[in-house]
Amino acid sequence: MVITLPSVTYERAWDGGGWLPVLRRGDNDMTTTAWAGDRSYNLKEGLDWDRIRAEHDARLATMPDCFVGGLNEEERSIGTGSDRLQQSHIEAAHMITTGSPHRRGKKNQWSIPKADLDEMVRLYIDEEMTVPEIGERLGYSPHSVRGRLVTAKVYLANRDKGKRS
Amino acid sequence: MNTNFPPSSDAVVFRDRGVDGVQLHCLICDEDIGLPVLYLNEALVVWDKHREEETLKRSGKKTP
Repeated sequence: MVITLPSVTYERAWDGGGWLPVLRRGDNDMTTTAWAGDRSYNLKEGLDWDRIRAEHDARLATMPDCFVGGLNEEERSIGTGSDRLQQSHIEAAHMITTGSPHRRGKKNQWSIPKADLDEMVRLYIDEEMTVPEIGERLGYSPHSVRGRLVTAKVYLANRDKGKRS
Repeated sequence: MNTNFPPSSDAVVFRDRGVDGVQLHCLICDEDIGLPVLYLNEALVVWDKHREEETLKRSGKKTP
């Protein structure tokens, strides 16, 4: 099986407050990479762009304020400010669009405090805790923790070194 | 030497690696990138990292 990776472009957020990574298949099919990071988008199952697009539209319809300008000061400090956008654009998009009405995590993923994010990284690196253990400790779902570590590029960097996941 | 990478849709393919996930392969460098991944967001992180590193390498700058 050989499939192609969708192209990624960086486009202006709805309110012009920043740049978001966007997956694009054609002129009309796009979604932020945060949507692509959804657990349901398993590469081995293929990419169902009709479903991705439908989910994207449905979630946007329920979250009219899910743009950079809709974040509060604390959330901006996590990485959506223009000064940090370069290093955290994926993370920012992830937070913005996973302010999920589904509430997958035990805490509101949209407003995750920076202290929690730092603690996740610290526990993973310094304490060598597993993702489920970190989730249990901090009160987040394993998927939420894993997503944060991936978007912080910590999870993959350590997995490349052979560290347990 | 071309230092600009085209969109990933033109430069990367996946190959199924069974339970390990899918292996990214860069068509420009003709080499496998990183370890197999399972989810699309992981693949995009790997691709971004590879593209950044290759772009720096080709421009003659040191990798940070």
